[in-house]
Amino acid sequence: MSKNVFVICEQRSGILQPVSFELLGEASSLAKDLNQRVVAVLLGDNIASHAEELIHYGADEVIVVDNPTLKEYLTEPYAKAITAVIKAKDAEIVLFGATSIGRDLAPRISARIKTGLTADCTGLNIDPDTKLLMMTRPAFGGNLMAVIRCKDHRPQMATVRPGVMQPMEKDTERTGSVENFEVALSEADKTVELLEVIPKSKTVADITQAKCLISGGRGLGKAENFKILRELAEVLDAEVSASRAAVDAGWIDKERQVGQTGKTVRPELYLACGISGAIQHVAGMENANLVIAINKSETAPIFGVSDLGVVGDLHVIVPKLREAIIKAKSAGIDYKAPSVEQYVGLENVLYHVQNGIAYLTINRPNQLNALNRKTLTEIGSVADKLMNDESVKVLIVRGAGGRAFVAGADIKEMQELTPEEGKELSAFAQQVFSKLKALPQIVIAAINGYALGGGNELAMACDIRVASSRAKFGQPEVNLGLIPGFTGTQRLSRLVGDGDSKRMIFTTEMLSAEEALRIGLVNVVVPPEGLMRTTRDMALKIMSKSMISVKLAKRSINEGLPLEFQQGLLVENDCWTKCFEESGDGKEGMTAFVEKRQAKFS
Amino acid sequence: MKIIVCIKQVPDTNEVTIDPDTNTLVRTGIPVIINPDDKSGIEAALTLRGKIPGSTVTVVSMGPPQAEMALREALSMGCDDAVLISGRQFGGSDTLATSTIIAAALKKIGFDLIFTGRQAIDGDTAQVGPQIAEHLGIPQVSYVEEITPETDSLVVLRQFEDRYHRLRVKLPCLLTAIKDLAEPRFMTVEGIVDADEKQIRIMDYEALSDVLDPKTIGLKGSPTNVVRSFTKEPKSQGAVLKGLTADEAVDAIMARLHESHLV
Ligand SMILES: Cc1cc2nc3c(=O)[nH]c(=O)nc-3n(C[C@H](O)[C@H](O)[C@H](O)COP(=O)(O)OP(=O)(O)OC[C@H]3O[C@@H](n4cnc5c(N)ncnc54)[C@H](O)[C@@H]3O)c2cc1C
Ligand SMILES: Cc1cc2nc3c(=O)[nH]c(=O)nc-3n(C[C@H](O)[C@H](O)[C@H](O)COP(=O)(O)OP(=O)(O)OC[C@H]3O[C@@H](n4cnc5c(N)ncnc54)[C@H](O)[C@@H]3O)c2cc1C
Repeated sequence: MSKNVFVICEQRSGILQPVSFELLGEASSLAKDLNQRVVAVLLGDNIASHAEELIHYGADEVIVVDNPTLKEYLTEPYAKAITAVIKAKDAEIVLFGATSIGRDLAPRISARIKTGLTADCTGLNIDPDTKLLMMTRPAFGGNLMAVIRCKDHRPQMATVRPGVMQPMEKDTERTGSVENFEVALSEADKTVELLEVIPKSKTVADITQAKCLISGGRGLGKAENFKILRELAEVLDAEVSASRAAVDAGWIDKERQVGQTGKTVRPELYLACGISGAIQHVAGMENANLVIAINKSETAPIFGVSDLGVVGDLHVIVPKLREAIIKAKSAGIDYKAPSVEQYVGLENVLYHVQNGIAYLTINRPNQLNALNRKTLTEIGSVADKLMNDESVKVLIVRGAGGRAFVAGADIKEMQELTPEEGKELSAFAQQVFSKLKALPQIVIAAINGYALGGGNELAMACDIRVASSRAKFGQPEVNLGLIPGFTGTQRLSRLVGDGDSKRMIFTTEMLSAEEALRIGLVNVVVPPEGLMRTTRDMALKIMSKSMISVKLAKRSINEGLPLEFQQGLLVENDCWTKCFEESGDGKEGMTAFVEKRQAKFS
Repeated sequence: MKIIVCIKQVPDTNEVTIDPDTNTLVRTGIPVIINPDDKSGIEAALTLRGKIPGSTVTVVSMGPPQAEMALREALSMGCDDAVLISGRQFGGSDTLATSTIIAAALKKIGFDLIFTGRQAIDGDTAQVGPQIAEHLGIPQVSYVEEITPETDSLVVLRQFEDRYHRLRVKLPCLLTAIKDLAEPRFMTVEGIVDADEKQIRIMDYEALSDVLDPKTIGLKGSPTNVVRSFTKEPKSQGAVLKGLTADEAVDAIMARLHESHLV
């Protein structure tokens, strides 16, 4: 039977390409869902020394085809070698980068093996029921997304768009096996004669790797005007990119084009200047962390995908912006604050803050993030820290490793507990989860996989739950002779009602994300690849409002919920009143509304 | 030299819009065109014909009877003859099945050099060209930007992201054309008149049945299928500030950059 997820690793001139690491990251999560292994296939001349690195990035096995014929990419020798590997190993899934090499090679191989091939995918996941690979890809110039499967033919093959998947953290402790695979290749396999390799204009920067991009479109008017973008890029340590209109006009190199037929980028900052925001352009930049657009037309579609839009003339604003940045830098203000601040002293959770959003990641992926006492303690200490941290507005809680949010409590730790110890553990967990619920920040759970037992209870302790379509929910305690004891019986019944909570707890049946959405256990379900983006967008949307009001509303709902209706109204009345006090935002918000301007909330 | 150009009739995706109520593609009333890369292929083929005496250019398209329009346009640009591969048994083919059918037809038609476009703007897979080459057992060179003919072979410039290859490839072979290969000429009045007089050869399932395994074509013969499709959810919108002075605009941007620790 066919098995394992194969990644065809791309190297150019002996250098592994970033897309190879991205594919290994994605393959790892697919392989986990299938309970299979990740096999990296590495082809080239004198290339074996790179095998270790592929293991560090997620490969369980590396198959090396080392042959002088494979020195520079040519279709036939590569197709022959890979076909031999796929056939010998009976692969279940084979992934290629959707680069100009991958898209030349993969269709040739698919026609040789006579199996299906899905092009230029931006999302992959395993259907939980059929175990088939579901491949999501854009078509019709990015206007349509299609989900494609290959039911009866093996392997299931796809090319995957570079820049879309996430590589794993490099782990030099990871181990795996390396196999040298012999393929009889000779000069005769070269069906074309390579006369010359001509490097493209030497110093073209790789815009997919840039942290910040300053991007220009037709609105720049002429090639010379790219100068002001280059000058701005210099002070921001950014690269310059462009829309296709600017590239087609010959103002800038094609290597810098963003979009459907250009590069897909996901920088920290994408500053779009004089770009209208056509769907083919947006397809390449919508995953940027922060999008700011400058456009003179109020109706430009780019504003629809921007975190901040400014209606105005780029020729005036861009030079001024550069001056402001230089000034800010020379004023000695410490603007170079690290974007990621690690909270030390934690082992089982990761904690960092970025742009006012804190991320709490339950980090025991090998135990499916099961909650033990130490993990609960660390969640508690993060909550304590946040209680007084005004700089953080939203907390996102998530699980590490792609498979589970939190798959339950640590059973081994609970096996030998006396009744007194059991009572104490439940009280402790209840206290930690109640602390989380009572935080002044808005707490969003991003649920990527299993949320079982204590995991479902942790998710319910958050204010809002966003789930990946592959998430699963359940309260399996009665299988173990227990009942939910980390707030589960109380919260679940209040959240989904009497009948559904009892059905979940009594039958221990696992719910799909769709079913969880239907009964109100989660609030949004998104494709797996959109989980963090949707969650972050939701956080940013909340943060663009009056945070004082948002927090008061949270308090009113939280405190009112366990009360009688009439008493709840008193809480509401109290919180509402605070909006009108000096410290409230009501005055500014309503004045701005009347004056038809953007409110400046404190 | 017998030159073939495979052309696909496609909706002009520039004009495709989304119905905001149903969130689906509006397909009716969208103009259809010859796939842009294929037009570069036609132009390159016509240029080669000019350089190599005794050459002919045949355009081939698989599709519904309406695809005849695309073939007529190609004839009007100056191509010598046209073949329409059409039959309901071919409907619903994925790229593997499509390439199997086109390759079967090409075996019957004969060829020395085949052009396809790199990528069709509707299906957007860029797979059909290399797959045809594999079925025919001939070498392929994709992303071709320049062609110089030699006796029995071509020297071509092939584009990658970071480099070019200059390659010599023996005939018969298949090249996939990109926009940079050639700027297509317009139809001429004479061309249109000539084209009207030309017959378009139709190849249906019967015509190919001796070389086609029915299990490898159409919806049933396609390994991949589209399970569902949807239009993309737009990213949520942030604030749009208007009526600001340039200085206020700069302040607003600086505040945002500062907040994100980018300055
Ligand atoms: C199959 C296909 C693939 C494509 N692939 C891509 C792709 O990969 N990438 C891509 O970018 N496009 C792609 N396109 C093209 C895309 O549809 C648009 O035509 C293109 O993105 C438009 O570029 P633009 O925004 O720079 O120009 P325009 O749409 O002309 O927009 C210019 C903008 O500048 C603004 N402006 C003018 N003057 C000023 C000023 N002084 N100050 C501020 N603003 C000003 C205008 O208001 C306008 O919004 C593709 C199209 C097709 C059909
Ligand atoms: C939303 C959607 C997604 C799809 N995704 C996939 C997928 O991932 N994998 C898959 O196998 N199929 C897929 N298909 C099916 C595929 O689009 C069809 O098989 C189509 O007929 C050929 O693919 P293409 O348009 O991508 O052509 P491409 O492979 O992009 O075309 C390249 C070149 O081949 C030639 N060519 C292609 N079709 C014809 C033709 N009919 N007649 C003459 N020459 C032609 C042209 O020269 C063209 O420029 C998808 C279909 C849809 C609607």
